[in-house]
Amino acid sequence: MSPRPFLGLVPLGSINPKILKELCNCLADFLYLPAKILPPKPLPLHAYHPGRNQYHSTQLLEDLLNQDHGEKPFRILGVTSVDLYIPIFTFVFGEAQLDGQVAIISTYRLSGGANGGNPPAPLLLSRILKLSLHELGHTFNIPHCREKGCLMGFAANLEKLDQKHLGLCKYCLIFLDDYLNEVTGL
Amino acid sequence: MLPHKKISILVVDDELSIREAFYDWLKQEGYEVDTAADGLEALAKVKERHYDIMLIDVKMPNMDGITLLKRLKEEDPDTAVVMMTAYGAIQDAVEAMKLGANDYLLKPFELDELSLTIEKLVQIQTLAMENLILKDQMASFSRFDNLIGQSAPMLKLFETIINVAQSDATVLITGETGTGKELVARTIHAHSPRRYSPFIAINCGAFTENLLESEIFGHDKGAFTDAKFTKKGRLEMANAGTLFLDEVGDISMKMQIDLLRVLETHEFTRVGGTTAIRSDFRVIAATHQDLKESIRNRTFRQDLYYRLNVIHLEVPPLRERPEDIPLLARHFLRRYATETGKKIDSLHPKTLAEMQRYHWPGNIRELENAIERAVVVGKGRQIKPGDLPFVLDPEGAEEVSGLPLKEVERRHIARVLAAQGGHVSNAAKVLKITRGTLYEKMKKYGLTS
Repeated sequence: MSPRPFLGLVPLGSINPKILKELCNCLADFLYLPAKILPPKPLPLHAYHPGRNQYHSTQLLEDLLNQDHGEKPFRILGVTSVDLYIPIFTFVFGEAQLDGQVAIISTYRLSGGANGGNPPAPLLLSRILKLSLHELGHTFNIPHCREKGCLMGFAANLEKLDQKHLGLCKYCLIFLDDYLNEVTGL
Repeated sequence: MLPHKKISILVVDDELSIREAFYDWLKQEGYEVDTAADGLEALAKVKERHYDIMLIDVKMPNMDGITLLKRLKEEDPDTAVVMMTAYGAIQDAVEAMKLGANDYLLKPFELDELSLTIEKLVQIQTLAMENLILKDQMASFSRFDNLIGQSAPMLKLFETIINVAQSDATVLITGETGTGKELVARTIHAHSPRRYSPFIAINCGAFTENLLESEIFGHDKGAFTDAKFTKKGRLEMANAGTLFLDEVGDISMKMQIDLLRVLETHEFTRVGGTTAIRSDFRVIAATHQDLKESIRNRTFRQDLYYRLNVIHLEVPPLRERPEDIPLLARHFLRRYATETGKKIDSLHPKTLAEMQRYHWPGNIRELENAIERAVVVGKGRQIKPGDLPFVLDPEGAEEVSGLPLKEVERRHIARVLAAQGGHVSNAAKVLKITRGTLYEKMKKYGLTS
């Protein structure tokens, strides 16, 4: 009997364990997939850009994909507290492979890292959860959505992220259902 | 946004990581994305197809972004361009805007900066595309809306439409499948005093008798098992407008009697209803069948025929007006090239010659399908004979003349089946035989659908 597919959360560098545990439970509830926290991995030096003081998220994704995590998760979500970038943008909140296996999110900007600020814990968790679900949505082959409030909408800043609902629009929900049914038989 | 057409974006940057980052992000945004590593590669791609938007890096080897922009404006001036640079040289920005760039951005971008810039250009390009299609429709306004033709039979038809449109007389339109009978009906309506009222069409061949009755007359709640609500029929919906009965030759004898009564009195009741309803509509009917033969075969009522055939319009088959084929082919070519974004803007003279020799059993519908296919599979800027479907490789008359009758029949049936995409019912209509007869012949000649 083949093992049940599960979602693996991989801490990259130091992450608040309470937040990680909370995120893990919420993702499992939302996606109806078991979720586990896998052994942490160090942040690789080759992904660090000293001039920008940021980590290249695409390179972190590649590392996550190629590393041995002890088990074979259905999807891998890297969680880090450092600031991320891709070459074309000043920063990114996270990144994912469209219809791929890995995604990564950063809590840096969500906790007001760049501008200071200390959001209350429920707001911070809500942001982290929305971002995680958004990036994981991409791994389920769901592109950006233009329906107002949908979790898969592109959020260029925190204000737009906070305005999103914690849910998918009816169209993206269908895409997600179809994808998961086809791939996992669930 | 036009359906079926994603906005296409070409990213030109010599850095692989930039191209890859753009590719991933723009794909997530739902765009069709392509990349080029320098100006020369970009120009080669632009020669093959149209891109709605190009993102061009200024500093590149071989050909810099400004030079590429100049060449692009000659090659494809409709493409929107965003110039990008990591170096904030103001004179580059000024020059780029003077040369026709839509915007100029510094890398790396703020998330919303790039997103808004592209969104703005998407709206501009979508509007431009819609205008192009509208202009195309207007350009092909030969005399009446979408009816195209300059041949003598078509000019005669146009003249008749002008006269017929102004009266309320019933019209019977005959012609082979795919000749555009519905288009003629819509054109009559559009030029009639009823043009601001509905044009209600019903394909009589598409329904079973019971469903057709309900479609035409409507039904009251509870009239039959699934009648959970009262439903207006097409007769009511056509009040003050035009009722188009397509494939009127397919209706049952019982329905013909009901229809005759309605055409005479303009009064009817819904299925299961008792209240008489009046509706003021003008009738246009169409059929590919020979109704006089149907009358002889007692499958069509003579009195209904005379009621419908007050004015008769015959739409000529395409083979009888080969001089219209280039006009039609170019019309469809413009449409599908625009829809697919492919840079195909002409037909090779040999292609046109072959098309004018072919006998087009499926008429305009077949020609449109052939052009659509040719645009999809074609490479280069011209439709060549090889781009057309195999069925257009004609067996010339001189070959057929040496063949036994059975072989001629076999080849013709095979060709018609292929032209109708294997659809046996449609092929039977074109061949003017019943489906049963066609199936027998297919078995006899070892043909499959």
